[in-house]
Order: sequence, then C-alpha cells, then structure tokens
Amino acid sequence: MESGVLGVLPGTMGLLQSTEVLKLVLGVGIEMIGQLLLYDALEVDFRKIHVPQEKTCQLCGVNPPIKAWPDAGKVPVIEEFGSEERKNNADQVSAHWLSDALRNGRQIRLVDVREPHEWEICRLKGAEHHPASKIQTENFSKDLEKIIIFYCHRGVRSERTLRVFRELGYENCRSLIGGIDAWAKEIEPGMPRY
Amino acid sequence: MFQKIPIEDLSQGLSATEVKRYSRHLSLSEVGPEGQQKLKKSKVLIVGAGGLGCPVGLYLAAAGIGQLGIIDHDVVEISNLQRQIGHFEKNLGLPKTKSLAKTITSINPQSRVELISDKLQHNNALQIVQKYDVIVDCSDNFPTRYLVNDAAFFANKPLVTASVHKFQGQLAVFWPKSKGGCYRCLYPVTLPESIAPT
Repeated sequence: MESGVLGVLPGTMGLLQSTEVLKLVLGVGIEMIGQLLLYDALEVDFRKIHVPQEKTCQLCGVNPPIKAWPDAGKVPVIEEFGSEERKNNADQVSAHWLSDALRNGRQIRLVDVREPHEWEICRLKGAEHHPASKIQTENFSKDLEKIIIFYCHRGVRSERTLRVFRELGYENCRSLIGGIDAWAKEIEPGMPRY
Repeated sequence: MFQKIPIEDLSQGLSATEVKRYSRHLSLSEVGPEGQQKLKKSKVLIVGAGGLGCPVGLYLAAAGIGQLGIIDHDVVEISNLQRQIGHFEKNLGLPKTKSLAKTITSINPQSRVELISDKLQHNNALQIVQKYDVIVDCSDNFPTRYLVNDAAFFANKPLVTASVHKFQGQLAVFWPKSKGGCYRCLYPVTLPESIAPT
C-alpha cells in the first residue's frame, strides 16, 4: 500500500530544492551544503541540522568500501525534446491560438502577406494587406507587447517573411501555421477556400 | 552600497525578449544580467518527474535555467495529478518525461529539455550525471537516492535532494568534496522501501 502525502507538500519541498539550485548556480546567499532541513507542515516547523562527513561512511568516509564506480557500460539514450515543437512555440501560432488570442483582446497586428488576387478571395477580419513581395519592415514596430502575426495561404510565405523580420531584430512576430487555409478549416468553415 | 547600472548596458548576450522576460531577475543585484546568463548556461539534471520533479522543472525553466535533463521511466496516472503539478489530465498515459517537457516548453520555449526515459541504473548513472552542473534528486525510493548520491559523489557534482512523507519534508544539499557529508552519512543503511511514498 502506498503511503500518503499531502498534495501541496512536494510543491513546498520542490521549490526549496529549486531555490538551492539557483543559489548554487548564482553563488549567492548562505549555502546549504552539508545541511539537512526538516519541515513539518502540521507543526509549522522548519529545522536545519548539520550533516557532518562520517569517518565510517561507506562512500565518503575513511577507507570506504564503495571505492570504484562499477564499470559504466551502457551509453544512455538522451533524446532532446521536440526541437521542432520548441521552434513552433517560439515562431508559430496555430489557428486556435490566434482565434483565442483575438477573442481575449490581445494586441495583435494581423498581416496578410498574400498577393492581391488572393486577398480578394478571402481574408481575416481586421487584417492589413502587405504582399510579401512588397512588404516594408520600417512600417512595423518592435514593441514586444504588440504581436505581429503574418499569414499567407498555407504558411510558407508567412514563415519566410517571419525569417526576414527576425533577422532584422523583430522578436514580436509569429507566423500562422497552415495559413488562412488552416483558419478556414478549423475556425471559420464558411470561408471560401482555394 | 550597490551601484545601480542601467540594465541595457550590461545585457549583452540576452535578447530583447529575455531582458523583458527576466526583468524581475535583472533588477536584483544578486542576479542581474551576469547571473541571468549563468542561469542560461547552466545544465541541471532532474531525477524523477513526479511530485518534486514537476515544480523543480517548471520553476527552473521559468527562472531561465538553459538546459534541463529529466529522467523518469513512469507514465502519467490519474493518482499523480493530486500533487504532480506539471502533468495534465489530457496527458494521462504519456511518459512523465514527455508530459513534463511539454509543460516546461509551453512556459518557456527557450529552455532546452533533454529526456531520459530509461531507468537510472549503475551502468548509466555516472555517464548521465557527468553531463550536468547540478543534480536534483526528486526520486521516490531509497535505491535511486543512494545511486544518485554515489554518482554525484564520483562525478563531483553538487546534489540537491528532497523527500516527502505524509506531512513532512526533508531537503539536503550534498557536495562532500566541497564540505560536509553525503546521503550515506545521513542514512548509512538502506531503509525499507515501504517507508518512501511513491
């Protein structure tokens, strides 16, 4: 039978751990090396005690039985979490994200980078039209509070536009994944598709 | 008295977004742009993506630790959700490493997350531990705690360990080659596994 634990307690202890990690990295404050902190939530009691190096310790004592580390034979498999997914988080937004953000009144400048004949077929409400071939970066602000969302038909031209802006130091821009086509499919089914 | 220096002058190496994101850190004299860059360059290993590992991963990523390694071999179960705050109901059944990584990267997409979905064992522990600057033991059983302690000792890495039981928690920092004892000095013999909550 698993023993119980109060739901918030790992939060308290995990944050104390995080705090010590930051202190170690930054080299600030009173270090806790060689100390043990005991917390009792019911008693509201914090107690700190010293953990001395024991001469009889099997690992760090005098003549410890654990001397050499057992042969490390296996190369661990370390997988980097979604470099793609991470890039998406930073550079791209989904139609659902955009729809929610607009509904929640976020400051967004919607920029349609398609050609004029495509703009005539359909467009997002509130969008400005700046075809990718003619777009002028100086017309845009780098204010981080005002996100620029580029969109095109399927997300290729808007991604390319985004790259150009990023190169020039615009960190406040994103590209709509799947373009207006994804928007028509997922958010506004009545919109003409082409 | 601390001299106040405008943030912009010291912020080489941090992007405009980072300067905004970490502004409350940058205005602390103990952190500042240099400290923030130290955080960005540091690598932290989190052993266990459960009750302790979740807040550790989320807060360290939010605070700007550049690289986090997460090791766990369990999947998310409904009984975890009462306290393992980095896992969401929609991610039931996913490996805990992946579930926590998703949450971490949605908080801070800049943070680099490495997943190790193997069980930590004698034949891989040292090699894993060697790759990181600080080791955080968030495991829930004694064999793993001893193993992490030993690996951190041989790799000479600081170890931040914690555990929880009912209404009580413990926290310790070990770095015997710097000073003080280790986990085995504190608990010389293996205690019955039933004592540790899972």
